[in-house]
Amino acid sequence: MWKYLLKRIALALLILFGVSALIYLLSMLMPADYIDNQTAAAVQSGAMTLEDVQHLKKLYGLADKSFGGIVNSYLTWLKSTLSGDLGFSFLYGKPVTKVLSEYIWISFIVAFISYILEIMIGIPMGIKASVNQYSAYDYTVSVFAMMGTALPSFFLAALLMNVFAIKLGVLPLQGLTTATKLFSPDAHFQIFLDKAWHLVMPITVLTLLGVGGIMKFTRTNMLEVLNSDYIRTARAKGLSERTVIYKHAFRNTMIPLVTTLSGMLPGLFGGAMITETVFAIPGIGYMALRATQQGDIPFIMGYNMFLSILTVLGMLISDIMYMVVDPRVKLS
Amino acid sequence: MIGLLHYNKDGAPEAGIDVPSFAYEYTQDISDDNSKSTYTFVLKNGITFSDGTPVTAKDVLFSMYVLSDPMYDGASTFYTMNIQGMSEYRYQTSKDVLEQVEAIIEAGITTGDDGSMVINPADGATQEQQEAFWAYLDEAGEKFAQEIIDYVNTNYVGYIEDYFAPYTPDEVAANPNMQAAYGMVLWGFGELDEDGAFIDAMGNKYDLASDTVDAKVYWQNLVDAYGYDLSDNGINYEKAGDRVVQDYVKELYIASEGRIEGGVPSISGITTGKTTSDDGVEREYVQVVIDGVDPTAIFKLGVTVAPFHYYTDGYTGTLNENGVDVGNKEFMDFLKTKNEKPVGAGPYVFQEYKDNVVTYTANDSFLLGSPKIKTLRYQEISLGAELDAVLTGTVHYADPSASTTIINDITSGSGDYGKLDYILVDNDGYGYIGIQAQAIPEFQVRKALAHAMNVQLAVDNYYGELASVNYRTMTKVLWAYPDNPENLFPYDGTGETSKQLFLEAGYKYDEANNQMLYPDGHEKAGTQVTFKFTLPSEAKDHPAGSIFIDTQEVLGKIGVKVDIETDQNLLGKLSTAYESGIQVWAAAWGSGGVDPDMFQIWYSDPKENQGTSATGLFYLFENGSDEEKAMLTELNELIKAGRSTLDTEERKTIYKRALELSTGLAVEIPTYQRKNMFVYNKEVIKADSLFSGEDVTPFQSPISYIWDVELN
Repeated sequence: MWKYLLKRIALALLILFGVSALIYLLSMLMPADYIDNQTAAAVQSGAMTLEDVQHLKKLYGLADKSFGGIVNSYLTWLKSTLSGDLGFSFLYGKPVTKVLSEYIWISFIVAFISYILEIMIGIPMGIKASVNQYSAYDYTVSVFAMMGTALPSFFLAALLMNVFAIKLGVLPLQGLTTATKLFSPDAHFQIFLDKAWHLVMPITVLTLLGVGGIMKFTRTNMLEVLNSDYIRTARAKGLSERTVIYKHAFRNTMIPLVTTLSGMLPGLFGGAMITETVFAIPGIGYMALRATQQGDIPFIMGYNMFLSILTVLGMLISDIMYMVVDPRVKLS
Repeated sequence: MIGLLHYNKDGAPEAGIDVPSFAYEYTQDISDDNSKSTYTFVLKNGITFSDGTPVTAKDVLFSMYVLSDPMYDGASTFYTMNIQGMSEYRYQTSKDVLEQVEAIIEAGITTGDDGSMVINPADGATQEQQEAFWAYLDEAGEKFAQEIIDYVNTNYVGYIEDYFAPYTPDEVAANPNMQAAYGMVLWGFGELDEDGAFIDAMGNKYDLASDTVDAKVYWQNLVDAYGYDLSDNGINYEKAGDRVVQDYVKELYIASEGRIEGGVPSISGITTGKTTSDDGVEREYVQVVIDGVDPTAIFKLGVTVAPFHYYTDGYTGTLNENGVDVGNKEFMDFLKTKNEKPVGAGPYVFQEYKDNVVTYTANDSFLLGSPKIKTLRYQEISLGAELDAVLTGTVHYADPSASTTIINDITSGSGDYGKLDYILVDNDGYGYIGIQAQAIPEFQVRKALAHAMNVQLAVDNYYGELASVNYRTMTKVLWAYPDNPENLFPYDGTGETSKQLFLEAGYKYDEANNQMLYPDGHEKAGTQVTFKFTLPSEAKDHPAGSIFIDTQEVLGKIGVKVDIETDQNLLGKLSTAYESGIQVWAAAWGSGGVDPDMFQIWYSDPKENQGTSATGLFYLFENGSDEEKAMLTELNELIKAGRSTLDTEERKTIYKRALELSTGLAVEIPTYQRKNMFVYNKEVIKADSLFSGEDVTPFQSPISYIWDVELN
C-alpha cells in the first residue's frame, strides 16, 4: 500500500507542476494585466504616459510578456513557492499566504455546515426514495433534487434575498455582521449570534444546491444494492424490512458514499465564489474572484495552487477511504 | 486623511483657515517667459495628526518624496509632473546623461588597423563625451575579468588538481596571483609550464610566487585576443555572469561623472522654509518649482499628507534628510505594512477592518472641529445591491445606479421606501457616437450622418429625466464647458439636409430605385451606399440604440442603407477601430479628471501625441481635406494654448472655440449627459446636514463634509 501511496503522491506532484505552469501561462496571457487595470483611467485622461505604465510593469514583474520572459518569471515564482513563499498579493498588499489563512475559515465554516446538512437531509431522502421506487415520494423528491442541482446559485440567492430580506425582512440581506449595530467587544455570544444569523441564507443556498446530488447518489447506489442476491436472501430468511434496509443494504451503499463524501472534505476549504460574492461574505472565494478580475497574479497562482492541492488531496483521501471501508479492497 | 489642498465642488483648489486643507494659503506664479511655475503652500500652525503629533513641513516633504520614489508603485501620478530635479531624482542621475550613455553604447567602438580603439560617431553625444565615456573601458574591463576570476574560483575549485597541478586548492585560496592565473587557465588564456610558472595567452611568463597576475593582466589578454570587439562574439563571449563589459563602463561612468556625490538625495524643485503671512504669523511653507506651465499640476500637488514619524517607525534601514530610503523596494514594502492601520489628520480615526466592514471613530482633534457622528462604518456590499442594502437597513447611505424606477418608488413612499430619500448628481463623463474618419473620409458624408442623428432620443427613450442632451465633446460638469452651446448638426428627420451633403460630396441619387450611389472613382462606384453602425449591446438596451434605429429610418428615405450590429467586444476594438472594420459606434467617456485639457484625445499630430485615436484623427491630420487640416491645426494650437496658461477666463475662451472645432469635425457626436444617484435613510441621517441640489457635483458628494453630517 505504501508503494501505491508514494506513486500517487509522485503523480500528484507532477499534476500540480503541470497545473501551475498552465495557470501561470494563462494568467500572464490575460489581455489586461493588473497594471493595465490600475492605470487605464490615468492613461486615458493623459495623466500617465505609456512609459510610466511600462515602468510600473517592471516594478511588478509584468513587463516581459514574451514566452521566454514568462518562463523566467514562472521559474522565479516556482522557486519562491517551493521555499514556502507564495509572494505578495498586488491587490490586497499582503503576503498571499496571509490572505489565504485569514479568509479560508469563514468559507470553511459555511461549507462544512452545508456539508453536514446535505448529508443529514440527502442520505435519508435517498434511502426513502429508493425503497419506495416510482412512488409519489420518489418522483417529488427527485424533481426537487434536480431543481436544486440545476438552479444557478446567484438566482437562488437572489430569490431568497428578495423573499426573506426585502419582502419579509426576517433575515439580513448580506454581509457577515450588522454594521449598523455597535456590539461591546466582550459580547461574544451576541456577536456569534449576529454572524450565525447572517449565514442562514448562504448556508441554505449551498445546502439546497448540494443536497440533490447526494440524494441522487444514495438513491442510485441503494437501488443497485437492493437488487442484489443477498438482499433477496435476507428477505427470504424472514428478516424485518428495517433490518434488511439499514443493516444489509445501507451498509453496502456506505462504501461508495463514504469514499465520495470524504473526497469532498478538502474542497470545503476552497470557498464558494458566486455565493460568497452575492452575499458579500468575506470568504476566500470572494477574495479570489476580485483578485482574478484585477489580474493579481500572485494571488491567482496561490489560490489556484491551493485549490489544486485540495483536489489532489481529495482524490487521495477517496482512495484511502475506499480501502478503509471495504476490507476486501487492497491497494497495490 | 486630508490633503495639502482641498478641492471644492467645482473641483477648484482651495486653502484657508475654514477649509479642510493643511495649507493656510497658496500661490502660483508663472515666470514671464512661461519657462517655470512656482507653487508656494503656506502650512497652518497647530494642526495635529489623530495621534496628537503636530503636522509639519517634514511630513509634507515625506509624502511628496514617497510619491516621487523610483520604486513607488501606487496610483498617484505626482511623479509625472515636470518638477525641477524630478527625473534626476528618479534616475539618480540626470536624464540627459542616461540618454547620452545609451547613444554612446549604441554607436559602440571598433578596433583600428593599428589595434587601437576607434570610437564610432554617435548621434546625441559629442566626440569628447564619447571619449570621456570609453576612458572607463580599462577599469570596467578589469571588473569584467575579475568577475570571471571570482566565478571560476567559486565554482571550479574541484578542478584545480586536474588543470592547475602542482598547486593545491589551499595554495590557490591563499594566493591572489594563483586565483587570477587559474581563472585564465580554465578559460583558455594561459597554462602552467613544468616548473609551475604561468604563461599567459600573450606569451608572458609569471612566477606566481613573486610576479603579479591579476584582472588587469586578464583584461590585456582579452583585448589582445578580440581587439575592441565588444559584441557577443567578441569579448562578451567570455562573460561569467549576466553583465557585459558595456554595463560596467556605464556604471563607472554614471557613478563618477553622471552622479552627484552620494546619489541624488533630494528634488531640487521642492524646498521648504519659514515665512510670515499678512496676518503677521510665522508659518512653514513648501515650495514646488515646475518647468514650463502645467494647468493640471495644481490637482496633483494637493497631496494627502501622511505622518512621517508613524510610517517610518520601526524601519531598520537608513532614512535620508527627507525621511525616505531612496529607491529601496524594502522601504516601499515597509510603508505598505503600515497602511494596514493608516494614520492621518482626517475627521475619523481608523479602528479596524473586519468582516468587510471598516470602523472609524471621530477624531476629536480634527482641524474643523470634532465630527458629529462618533462612529462611522463602511460596509462592502455586492455590486447591484446598493438600493436593497439601504432599503433593508443594512446600510444607511449608498450610491445605486440611477433609474427612474428608484425615483418613482421613493417618491411614492410606499412601504420601506417611505424611509428613503435620494440626491442626483451629474456624471463625470458623457455618451457619444463615434464616426471613424478613415473609414468615412469625406467630411460632407460624416456631416450628413450627424444631421440624421436625433440625440434627443437617448434622453427621451432611455434616461428620461436622468439625462440631458450634450452638444459638445466635453462633459458638462467641467467649468470650461461653454454656456448653452448651439447644436452644430441640427437634426433633420426628412433626410433632405443629409441628401444635399451626399450630393455635394459627389454621390449620385437614383430616384427611380431610391438609392444613393457611391460616386465615380470610388471603389464601390455605382453601388448603394451602406454603413455599418455598431453597438456594444442590443439596441433596446443601449442609450444610443433608438438614435441608431431612427437614423436608419431617416437615411433610408434618401436611399442610404444602414446595418446595425451588436458587438460585445466593441470597446476592446476601438483602439484599432479602422482595422477592425468599425465605422460608426456608440460609447461613453468616463471621468477625465478635473482639468479640461483635451490633449490626449484631440491633439492630432502623431509626432507629439503618442496615444491612439479611435476616431482616426491622426489619419485626418495627414490625409484630410484642406478644410479639415486647417481645423485640426487650429485645434492643436488651441489645445497647446490651453495648456500654457493658468488663467481660467482665458482658458474658457480657448476651450469654447476648441470644442466648436472638435465637435465640428463630425468624428464624435456627443449625445447625452447622464446623472448618478445617492440614496439614504432619512429616518437615520438628518437630511439638511448633507449637501444637496447645486452643492452636489462629481467633485463634492452629499457626505463630502462628513464631519458636519448628523444623525436624527
